[in-house]
Amino acid sequence: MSHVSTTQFPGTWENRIRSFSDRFNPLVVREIRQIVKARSFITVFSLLLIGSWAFSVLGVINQFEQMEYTELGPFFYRVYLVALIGCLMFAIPSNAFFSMAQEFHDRAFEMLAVTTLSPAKIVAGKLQGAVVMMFVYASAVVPFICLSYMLGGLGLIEIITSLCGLMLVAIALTMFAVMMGALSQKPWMEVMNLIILLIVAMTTAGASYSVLIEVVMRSGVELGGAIMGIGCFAVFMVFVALISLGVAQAQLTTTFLPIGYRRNPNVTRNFQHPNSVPPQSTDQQTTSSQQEINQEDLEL
Amino acid sequence: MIDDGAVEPIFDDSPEESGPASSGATSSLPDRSGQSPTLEVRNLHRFFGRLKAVNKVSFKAYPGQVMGFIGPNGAGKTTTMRILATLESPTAGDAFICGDSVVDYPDRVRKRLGFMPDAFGKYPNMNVVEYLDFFARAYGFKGQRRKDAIEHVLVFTELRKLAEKPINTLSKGMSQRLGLGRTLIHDPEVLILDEPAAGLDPRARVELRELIHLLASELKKTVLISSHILTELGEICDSAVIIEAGEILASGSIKDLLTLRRQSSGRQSHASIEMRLIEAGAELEKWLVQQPFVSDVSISQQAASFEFEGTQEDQHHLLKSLVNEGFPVIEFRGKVESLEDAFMDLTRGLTQ
Repeated sequence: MSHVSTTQFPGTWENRIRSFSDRFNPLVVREIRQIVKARSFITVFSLLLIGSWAFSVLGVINQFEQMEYTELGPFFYRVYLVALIGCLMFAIPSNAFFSMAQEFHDRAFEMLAVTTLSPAKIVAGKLQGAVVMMFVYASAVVPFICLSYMLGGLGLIEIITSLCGLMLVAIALTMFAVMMGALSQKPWMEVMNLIILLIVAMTTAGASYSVLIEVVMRSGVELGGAIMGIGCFAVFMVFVALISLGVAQAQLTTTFLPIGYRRNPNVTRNFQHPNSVPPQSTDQQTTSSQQEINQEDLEL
Repeated sequence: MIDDGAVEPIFDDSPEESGPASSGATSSLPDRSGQSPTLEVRNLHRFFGRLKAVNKVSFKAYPGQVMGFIGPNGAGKTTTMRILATLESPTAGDAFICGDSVVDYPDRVRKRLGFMPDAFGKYPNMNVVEYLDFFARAYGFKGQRRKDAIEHVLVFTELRKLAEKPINTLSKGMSQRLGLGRTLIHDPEVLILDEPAAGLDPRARVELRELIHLLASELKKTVLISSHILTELGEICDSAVIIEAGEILASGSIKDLLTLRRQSSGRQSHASIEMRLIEAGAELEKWLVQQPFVSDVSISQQAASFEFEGTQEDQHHLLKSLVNEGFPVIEFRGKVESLEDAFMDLTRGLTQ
């Protein structure tokens, strides 16, 4: 089928946006298109925005008289961080999990596997889509975080350190969710893996909250310490993410050759070293192989 | 997805057969001089533990050819098609799409092959254009080229009107059209369609048949199509491969397969004749049995049927004699042999 060439409009905004989206992994474009239309995203995002806005307004009104004497920043920031942890560690990983698991429903993955997308690209696309959504959620909370900074009691380094740490953990958790999704090729596996994912997410969220709030916020950090901490944390998370990536990629690869593959099965295979087998033994071996064939045919 | 238990497969070493149509373990279709096959399956095996899902399967298909791949459930059709689509690896043997091995160059094969499975999942929250756009991107199409490819597919599959419709709300027939469109988005040379007409209403089937016919005749695609609806396949396909219990029973052009059927039943020139009469009785039966070339006579109240092994001239003489004898014949027709007849005669109803 030859494709018809139609008139081009290189200068239009539509074409500029289209050529910009060409740079992305196709799965990122698809994931974002799907997510922004999904009810779950609209609900969670609206709740995050409305909840943060309502809390900020009510909180400021309620604490208005104490503002001059008390630094309210950490109190407000803690609430926004909890909301962000909920989105980044539950909503996004579970969405990534279902998105990956759904590929195996009704053999949808077969259509993806026959395209020129490699398993690595498929997994990377799922992760990148999730990361974009993380920034969307984070951007919704940023104005409120600015408010908490302005209320005093919070350093810029603490805020950046905790947000970067949260992002790293969320990315690693999402990678784990993608891996669990890739391992969910049967309905019972999907249920089991979802339970495992939820347990891991709850544990990680709890641990992250403790580390980010109790250690970073209360003890305070210096710039060098923050870089060092995030660096070590990042190495660990990259390690977790790479293992998950490898497992998911292996799970999605359809073209592993079976052990003992023979391109030309008509050529008799010599199972022993030629020097150690006398010619008459080879004949006997062929005969026994033939008997094995007949036996197998009879059993079938 | 490493193999499940086929560690040391044992293979038969029988030589390949060839001919215009052949029955047996391996077979090949007539070579088209000067044309190289776009699809070639060479001594393919796929074992699942001790189950021989595909065993010694070989066949070829050429540009513009629509080949039916028929067999009962569990015959190995889908497994063979999945190997061709690089979704599964063979235990032994190889297959080639436009000369590229599915084992060695799966990436190259995917660019030249369109695969439509019998059932395919629909992504939620996507419309028809977005769905096609995603697959065009997945095949590496960018900018204007992608836009053109989508437009062409929408026109070809007549889905232009439904472009903005969510794919979850499409009817079965429209979904199959969309599936075919997705298969065509990267303009592949070989199409593998697994049960494309399953679950379609008669109108959608006819429309799909026309699309497939157009793909082969106008666009010179090689189409390998599996279906249980053999009357449909007989009308679309110019050749067929009959597979049962993982092994090829026969392959060749439809005409050759029908000849093979006659040869296997020991009849050279054979027709099943059906007659309608104002009144049929024992006298007619007695008369028919005495006639040359006539066998298996069956008489009901106003109808008669029998097997006739003579030529068309002989049929003409028989009809003339019937009228001259005063039998009240109002209809005399030979039943047309179909792919279904060949399938029923050549297969043994084996399952694995």
